[in-house]
Amino acid sequence: MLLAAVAAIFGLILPDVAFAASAGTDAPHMDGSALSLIWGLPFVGILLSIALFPLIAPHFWEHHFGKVSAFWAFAFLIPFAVTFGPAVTVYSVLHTLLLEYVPFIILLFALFTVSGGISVKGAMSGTPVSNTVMLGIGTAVASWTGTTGASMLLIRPMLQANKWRRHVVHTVVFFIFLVSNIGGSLTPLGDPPLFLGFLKGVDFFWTTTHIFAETLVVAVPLLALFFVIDSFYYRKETNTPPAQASGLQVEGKINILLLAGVVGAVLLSGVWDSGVSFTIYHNEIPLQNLVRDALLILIAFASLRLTPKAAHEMNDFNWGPMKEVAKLFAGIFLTIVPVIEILRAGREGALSSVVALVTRPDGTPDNAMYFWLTGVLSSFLDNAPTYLVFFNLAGGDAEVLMHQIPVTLAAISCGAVFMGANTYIGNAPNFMVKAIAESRGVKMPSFFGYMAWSVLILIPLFVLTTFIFFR
Amino acid sequence: MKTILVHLAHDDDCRRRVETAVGLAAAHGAHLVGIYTKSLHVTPPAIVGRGASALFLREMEASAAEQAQETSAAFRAATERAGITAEFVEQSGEAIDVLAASSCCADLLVVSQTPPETVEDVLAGSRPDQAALVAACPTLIVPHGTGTPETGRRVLIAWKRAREAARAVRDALPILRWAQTVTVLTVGSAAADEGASAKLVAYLERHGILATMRPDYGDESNVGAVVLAHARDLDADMIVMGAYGHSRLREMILGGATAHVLANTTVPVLMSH
Repeated sequence: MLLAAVAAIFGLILPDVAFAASAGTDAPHMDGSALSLIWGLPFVGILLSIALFPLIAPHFWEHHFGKVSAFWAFAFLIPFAVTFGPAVTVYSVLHTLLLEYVPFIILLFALFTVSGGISVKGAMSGTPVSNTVMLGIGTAVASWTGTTGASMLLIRPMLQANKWRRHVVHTVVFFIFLVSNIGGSLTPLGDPPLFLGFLKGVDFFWTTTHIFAETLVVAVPLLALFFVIDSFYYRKETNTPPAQASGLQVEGKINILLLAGVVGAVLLSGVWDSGVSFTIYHNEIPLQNLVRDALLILIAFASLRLTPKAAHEMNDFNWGPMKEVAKLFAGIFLTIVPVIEILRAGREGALSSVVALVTRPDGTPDNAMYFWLTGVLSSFLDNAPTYLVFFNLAGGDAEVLMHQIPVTLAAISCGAVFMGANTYIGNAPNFMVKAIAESRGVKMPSFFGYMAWSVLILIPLFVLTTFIFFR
Repeated sequence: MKTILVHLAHDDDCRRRVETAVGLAAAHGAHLVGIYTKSLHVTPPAIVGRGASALFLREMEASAAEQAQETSAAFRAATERAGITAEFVEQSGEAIDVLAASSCCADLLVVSQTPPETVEDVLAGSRPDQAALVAACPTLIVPHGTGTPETGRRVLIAWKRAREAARAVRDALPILRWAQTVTVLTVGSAAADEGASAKLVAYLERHGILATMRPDYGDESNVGAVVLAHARDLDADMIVMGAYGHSRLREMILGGATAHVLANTTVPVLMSH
């Protein structure tokens, strides 16, 4: 937004930057089919850094991840600028920053602030019925608050309700499955990859309508299974429940209204075609996108102002996590630029073997392959860039994906969202939930112990999903 | 020995650590300082930059506050029972950094051995048992597990002619003076260097400490395992050794024997760097 504003001011000075409704035709062009795989190295480097540094050198990563991100960004930018010249570089960098990175960060900022202003207090009774209902609510809410927000809002009441029970691990594991991952599948706000899809042109309600059935096929058996397991442990329970459950109270209710505002602002940019757009160095930015970003920023500040101090603790409202995301994703969004160009070149490009891998002999996309490849990679790498990779592997044109090969888009979306549940590191809220549960005395399973749960419970459901939807 | 620090945190070994520290403080008439390290309220390395949540930090802060209360109450009860002077200090930060900073005005730091390494320990990222490399005072690492053995009665010194080992012995003098038996173990080439261990025995004698030499001329490819085997043979209840290693890029790189002993000991180890 700020960048867009600055660039717009520049637009009045530089002759190259025109204020016009039609642009992009004479944009500096880069031929993706001419790019060698070497250009993908910084992207692979940053993804592997994110996956491996926390294991090999956690303290180094904690303190220097920003520098590592910058290193990979420059490892792409400098050779790229030297090889293709300033015009293509400036165009490509502005393109990814203005159309993807900045809106992405602004949405996360709004969700971060607004959900940070809500808090849910009190406890339910911790019976199998109330636990299953809580998980169901969390699953439903996650698509509107984001999986991170929903997880963080509900984990404390969930743990509080089960404090008197001896077996809580299964509850937390199913919480991660449903609230931290699968529940986020229905709107662009649910999970970052889906918002990237939205920025690329996928309709707001596309996932709501097109992966609703897939979500039900995974979520309903999970809830049923949870109820069975929880009832089993409940019958064996020797501790006595507390006399009375206090029920749940929500603090910072104004933020629920503001959350609706976030949904509205994002939705608005999806349905309203103003017909007006600003062109910044051949990059066309529609007015509705700028309006959306401005509204989101306004909502975030409104939340900071309107939330009672008790809920927001404004004085030490911690911006750290937001800055961290901004640093890391800057590197991801820059280094992915050449990879997307290569992918879009399809069979002509350097990744033609990967294209062949996800294409059936008759030339149609192999949806099961899309689902599982996106999924397995999302289990260990961040799912947002993974989604972008497969989105572009499938052609990268939202219109074509939505209307001509909708099953492929559904497969990619489901893979990225669902399979983040496979490991603790598959999705950020997984690890947060684990850490909070442990800090409250729950002995959570180890990294591989958790994977045993996901392999035994989730993988069969994903196989079922494949047979029903992605054959 | 007049000031002992003990690392307090919400872990299973905390009670055992406190009992060991309280025992030493009572025996030496020392003042005990419990350093409670609050979690930093930062995103864990595994997901840093991947998920933004103010609520997460708030939740962690809330449970940390509750745990600080519990730990503080347990610490006060234990020190009052033993009739020693004590204080409870709460500090936020990474455990190892806080302990290193607090160690400047102390004679001993008591921490726990980190339990066998699992992937999530690495992901969560803190190893207080490596404090020996960064602390300004000697560090006593209490083994992970159950039971509270007495410590400092039968001491085994793992000796070689090195700055770290010499520091460890000098730092351990108050404990050695109080011990019933002290054994100087040398392994491989250090055992061959008989003059050096004889000098150490003489040095200890001038401090009023009677020590016996125990050279092991065997293989020195795994000194750590040899040291632990002798400790078992002697039924030692404390090992005194140098902590070898260096801190690079904020990651601790331990020497082979040091790492082996730290990972496998069932006996408290006093280390200096």
